[in-house]
Amino acid sequence: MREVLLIARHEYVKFVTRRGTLIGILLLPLIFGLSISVPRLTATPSRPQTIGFTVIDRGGHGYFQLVAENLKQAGEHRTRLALNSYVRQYGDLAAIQRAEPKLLATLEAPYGESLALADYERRGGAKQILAAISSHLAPDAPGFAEPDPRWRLMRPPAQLSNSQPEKFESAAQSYLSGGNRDAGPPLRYVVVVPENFGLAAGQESSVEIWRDASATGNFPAFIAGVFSNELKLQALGRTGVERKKLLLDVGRVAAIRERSAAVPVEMGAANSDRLKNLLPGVLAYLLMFSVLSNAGMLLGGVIEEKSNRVVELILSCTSATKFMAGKLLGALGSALTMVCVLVAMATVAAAAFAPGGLSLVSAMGDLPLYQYLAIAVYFITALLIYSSMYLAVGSMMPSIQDAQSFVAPMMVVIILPFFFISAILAAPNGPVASVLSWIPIYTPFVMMFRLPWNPPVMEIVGTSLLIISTTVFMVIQMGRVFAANVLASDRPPTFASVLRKMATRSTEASG
Amino acid sequence: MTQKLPSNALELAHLCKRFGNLIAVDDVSFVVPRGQIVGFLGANGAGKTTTLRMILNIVKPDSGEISVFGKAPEPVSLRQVGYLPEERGLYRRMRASATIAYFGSLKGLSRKEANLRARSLLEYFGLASAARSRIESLSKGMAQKVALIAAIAHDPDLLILDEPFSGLDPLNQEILEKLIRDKVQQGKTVLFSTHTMMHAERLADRIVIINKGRIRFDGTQREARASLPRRVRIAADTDLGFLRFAQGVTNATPPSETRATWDLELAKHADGRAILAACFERGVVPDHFEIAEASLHDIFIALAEQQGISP
Repeated sequence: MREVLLIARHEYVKFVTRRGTLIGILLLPLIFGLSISVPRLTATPSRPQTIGFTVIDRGGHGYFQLVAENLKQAGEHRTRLALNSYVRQYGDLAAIQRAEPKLLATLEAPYGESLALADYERRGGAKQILAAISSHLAPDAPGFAEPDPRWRLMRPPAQLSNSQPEKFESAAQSYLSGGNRDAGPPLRYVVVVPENFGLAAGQESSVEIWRDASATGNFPAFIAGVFSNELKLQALGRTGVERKKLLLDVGRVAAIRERSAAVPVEMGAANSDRLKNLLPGVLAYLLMFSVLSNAGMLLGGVIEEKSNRVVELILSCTSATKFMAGKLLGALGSALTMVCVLVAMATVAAAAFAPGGLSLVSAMGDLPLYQYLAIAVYFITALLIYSSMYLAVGSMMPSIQDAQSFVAPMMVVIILPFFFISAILAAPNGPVASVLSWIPIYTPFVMMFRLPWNPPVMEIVGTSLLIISTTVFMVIQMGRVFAANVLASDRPPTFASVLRKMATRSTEASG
Repeated sequence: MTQKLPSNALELAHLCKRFGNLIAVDDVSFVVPRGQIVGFLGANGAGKTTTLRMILNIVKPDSGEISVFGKAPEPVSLRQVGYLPEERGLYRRMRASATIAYFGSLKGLSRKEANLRARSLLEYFGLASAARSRIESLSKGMAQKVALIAAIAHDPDLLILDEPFSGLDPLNQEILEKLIRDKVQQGKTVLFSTHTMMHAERLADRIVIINKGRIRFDGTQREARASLPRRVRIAADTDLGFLRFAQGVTNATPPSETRATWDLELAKHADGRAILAACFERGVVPDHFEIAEASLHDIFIALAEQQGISP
């Protein structure tokens, strides 16, 4: 054991004092920082673009006007919610509550709440409300800016509204693609309400939405809401209830108001959630970084030791197994040191530059213990598997040039799970993520990404057992390859012979 | 109760090692007596390094036995052995003193002791100023000295040197020869391999010649020389062709462009002075007369020729 620790210490010192390691440790946070800050610095603040649309009411039953009214209400809802944020940021809430007892409840009511909108309108809208509470706003508060409307309703062009059904598509295409457009926002949607829209027998209860291919967003949901409500109102109207009253009732929204006991706890909980989602992924990237850094060093180190016969000196003092164990231990120690240094640097940077950053870091203590255990298992096993593979390949190569031809394909195999990150994050417990989790060489990376989304406990336990047993198998097998080939000075092996050697024990090399 | 120390530092019995179809070492047996210098001679690829690796337990023999100070070659018994591989065996970017301390530690020294020994040995060898230098910045001779110090830092009883003179200039060869003699005077044992006979001639008490994996000779230098006939080298200002037929001469080679003397090979037990008498009988007074024993080089070539093998 003494020899293993001596070799481990030697490898550790060799790695952590390497200029490349120090540069890497400094560069990684710099690259992270730049990747976050550059887009922020270079981005020009932009407001969402207003999207134009039109409504063709085939039957002329007033649906254009219906959409226009709903659009106006949607705008008022948005303005009300923006005013709510503004008041809570710059207002003296206690004084406002005393002066206008129901105002705050109206402002914070959820989007679409009909009673809140009615109260808001009764108070005269944003301008009147601001005038009423102006004495309770901070003196240095900036002026309130109403949000731009998301959608603008435009009169349908005559050529479009008068076009025959068989020619409608080409006419719509012409307008939606930007042709035949007058001044105003680009026309992105055309809503077509059929002549016989309604609930009665023989009537159509659907509307068509034609859209520009590039149009995205929740406009269709808005239109669906408008016409769904209209159908409900038509149905309820048959009971004889006044439409105005129905409008108010149909527009009620059950408000769910979240409350927390105290601000610091709420802050911590939020940070814990953010950290919970961030940490495993960040560690997976760090794992990749350490694997690639260590692998290069281990590979180069073995080849150097072979070429200058240091390996003979070492093997005259200890066995090849202990030699490899020392190397693995040293690599593990240097990787953990690298992670610790990077986390420490992140902590300092967070404390110094990021608002609330320190509480984010201190929230690390809130993570569940099993996640720490799982991260430790995945991290250590991945390092051991990949490091032992690189050591085995290094032991078979007479020169670094020969080794390079093997390194590239190995890298591709190792980083393969990173090509699936978007699929994993889109469905962390979906089939792609689950299948990749059970491929041992990918288990650590994939599972570390999945941890925040609570994969089934059986999967965590199962994959942990799988990766531990795989690690034991790989270290033993690669250890045999290492021991059998580390003295070899033959010609560079072929891919086939390397695979053969890795699959079976090989003979010792002649000297 | 005192334990009797084995008389041989190293004993090899019927060692065999095969790599695939290649027989690298074939039934090799020899001993290295305590306190002696043994030269292990052989051409490149003869099996010297494989034999040394087996002694050091780096390579396992297929059959046969090895005993180092009476014990099997295992990490503990091998702590009595210092090894200098053919090439320097040093980390390029490591500092000289750290290199020596590291290998000393691997051989069982405590870190403190290893550092102390590294410092004092570097000073002894005149390398104190290079203690903090990286190996890659040292000259070949200095690096070779560092490697040698690393091999002896733990004060081993048996020193195994694989081609130690390779690549050294004459001055450093002289220093290394002195170190080997000093070690033996201190009671240590040295086994060194070489394919240059000159060093073995100057240093070795015993020589072991190996070729194609088999031991071709094992004995003292005197025994080696006795195995080949003596030679007479003679020159005169007249033709000495008559000496071809002189009593006891088995072969005569006339002077050549590179040699000014006749080279006469004598039969076993023949008296060289009979050649001189034959000259005087003819009234010839030689300018040069010398009775020479066979050199190791001659012996090596002769052994190679006898066994139909190329050196």
